[in-house]
Amino acid sequence: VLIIGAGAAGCRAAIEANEYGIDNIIMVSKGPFGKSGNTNLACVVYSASMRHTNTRDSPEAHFKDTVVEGRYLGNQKLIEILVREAPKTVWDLERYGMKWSKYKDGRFYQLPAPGHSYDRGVHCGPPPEQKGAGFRVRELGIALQACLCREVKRHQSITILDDIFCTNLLTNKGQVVGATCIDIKTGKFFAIQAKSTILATGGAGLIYEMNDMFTGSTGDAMAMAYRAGAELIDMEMHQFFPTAYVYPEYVKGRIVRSSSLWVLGLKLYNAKGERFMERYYIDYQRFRSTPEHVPRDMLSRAIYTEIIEGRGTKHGGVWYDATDIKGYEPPKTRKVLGIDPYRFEVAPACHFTIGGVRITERAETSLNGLYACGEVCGGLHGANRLAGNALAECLVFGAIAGKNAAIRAFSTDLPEIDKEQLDAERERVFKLRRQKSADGIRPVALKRKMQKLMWEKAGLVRDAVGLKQTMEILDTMMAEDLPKLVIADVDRCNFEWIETLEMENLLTIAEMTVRSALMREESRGAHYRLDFRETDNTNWLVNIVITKSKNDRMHLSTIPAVLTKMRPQER
Amino acid sequence: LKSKRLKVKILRYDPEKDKEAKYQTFEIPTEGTVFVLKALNYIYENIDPTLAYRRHLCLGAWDSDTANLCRACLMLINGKPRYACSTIVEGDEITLEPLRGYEVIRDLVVDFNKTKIR
Repeated sequence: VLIIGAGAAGCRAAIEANEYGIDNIIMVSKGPFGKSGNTNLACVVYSASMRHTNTRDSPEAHFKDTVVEGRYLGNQKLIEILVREAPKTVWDLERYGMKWSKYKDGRFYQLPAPGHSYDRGVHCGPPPEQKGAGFRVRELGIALQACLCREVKRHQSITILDDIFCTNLLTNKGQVVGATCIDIKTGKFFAIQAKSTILATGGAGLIYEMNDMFTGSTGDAMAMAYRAGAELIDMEMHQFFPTAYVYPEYVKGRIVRSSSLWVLGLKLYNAKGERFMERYYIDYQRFRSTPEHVPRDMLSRAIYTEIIEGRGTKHGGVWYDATDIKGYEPPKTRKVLGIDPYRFEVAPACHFTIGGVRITERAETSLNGLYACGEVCGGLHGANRLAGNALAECLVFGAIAGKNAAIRAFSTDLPEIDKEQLDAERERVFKLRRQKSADGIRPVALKRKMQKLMWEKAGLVRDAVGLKQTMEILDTMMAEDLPKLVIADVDRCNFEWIETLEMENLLTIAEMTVRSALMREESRGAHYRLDFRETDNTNWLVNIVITKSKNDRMHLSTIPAVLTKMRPQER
Repeated sequence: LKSKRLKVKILRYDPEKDKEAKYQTFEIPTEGTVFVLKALNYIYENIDPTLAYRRHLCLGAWDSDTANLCRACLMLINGKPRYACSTIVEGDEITLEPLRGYEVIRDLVVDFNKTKIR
């Protein structure tokens, strides 16, 4: 079994496959094992309806919240699995040595989170008796990754390969038989042969200029799966977090912590000093005390509109004002870095890739021998993701993918690798280093250019004209700029080479995003079209599926959304 | 804030080509507060594309008292092990070396799996 990606999903899949008796597991990681990836950056809560803090909670309520927040686009069969298995994964992690926050009597201390109807977020901050509990939450991600790393190391037959970049999947007669990789440390090219391959690489937030993701989140596995012929789903959906720093430059893209501040009386001003949310949410006084207390997608969109229409600050943000919040103690780090702790500039940032590789309830993709789990797969969250559901998804589907990959590995023989394909891939990869051109472009420059373009034209607010323009520019980038990239010809640690390969993947993801966004002529959750502002439940309760057609072009089609239990009510 | 010049002294070494490690000094313009990793990014993007360092900047939940780091960018900054992504440059000169006790792959990148026996 080959596992690509060593975050939460990858580790869980490796453990599960090993416990099913597979003793030849290779897990590859793009950075150092346990020291890279988005899991480390995960914030606060892990959603599971444990019924420990609020006994009225139930998996059914969790199901309902996820479906409604996903605007009925999520695959309800997958959501059912998620809510059913999430409490079990909490106990699994407990057994792996995770120190969850608990009451004295041993019940889990669960926190409320936006979008959840009951207190559902298991976390590992201070226990409820301690002062400041519930506000001073410690980061969950880093603890989770450390705990999973320890558990993986206890399973000694899991081979971990650090600093490996996977370039492509190898296929033979319609099934995936392994992957080609580059060892970043030495620059050597090699192939890994496997009976089953699990993708667990995470999202593709780097297609946008403003993102809060780890610099390696370039959607490599999504692009690889696409090239190998797998189906991708919901690629127009990218979730944005409303408030991330934009200035000073050195903290750009980092999230301003705690969305609870929006509820407590945070104020947002544009460059003119206008409290602009009053304009977007006119009748707020009937329901809420502040106009800023709105869901993530609405707040992001309002801030973005202000910036794009020229009412933003000179660094491209809006003012975040926390001076009026009673009893608010800002983190000390802000002062150290010379930022006014109460007033600074913020803008939305890409937070999560909702779309991805389409999976079944058994975590299989549309290709034989290929499995996917975690952020890399799509279709689960629908049009918006709830807080804490991402980590739960990684653990739940990681286990499912690990199990099914193990079962498949038992029942098949090791397939042959197609030598021609291997040579072609080697040629493709090494050709990049020999490219020479008079007006050469650095991959960094091209990346910046694409990120800016995507952010302005295909970000939070989209329209047909802008998307068509973007598509044209992306086409020229792919046709003209990619062959012009000039990179250093070094073997060891040639990060520029890797960046070029990532760049190709990013452009593929960007194209998918733009094409699907252009196709979906409505607004729903994270996807907002200026020319189609309404949610259209009669025509667009469908998922957009992307496959590669025979002439190497993207083929888009729609399938009806899987609605097994809940249907949207007509208003 | 007036822009000033910052001298970055980096210990560079490629085990395949070089006999021994050598220091190379880069001069870059800076403005305001600078993280070490941002200075390295500047050198990589504008001066020397062959510079090797763990450039995965974690843009995570930095905004809290317990910093959340991926811990990959650990290196010796002015002789002390520090995270490049969250260390602020002080003064107008800085020395960067790879972490000691591990095998150096190239420049500032070390192999966390291979500890050197001293």
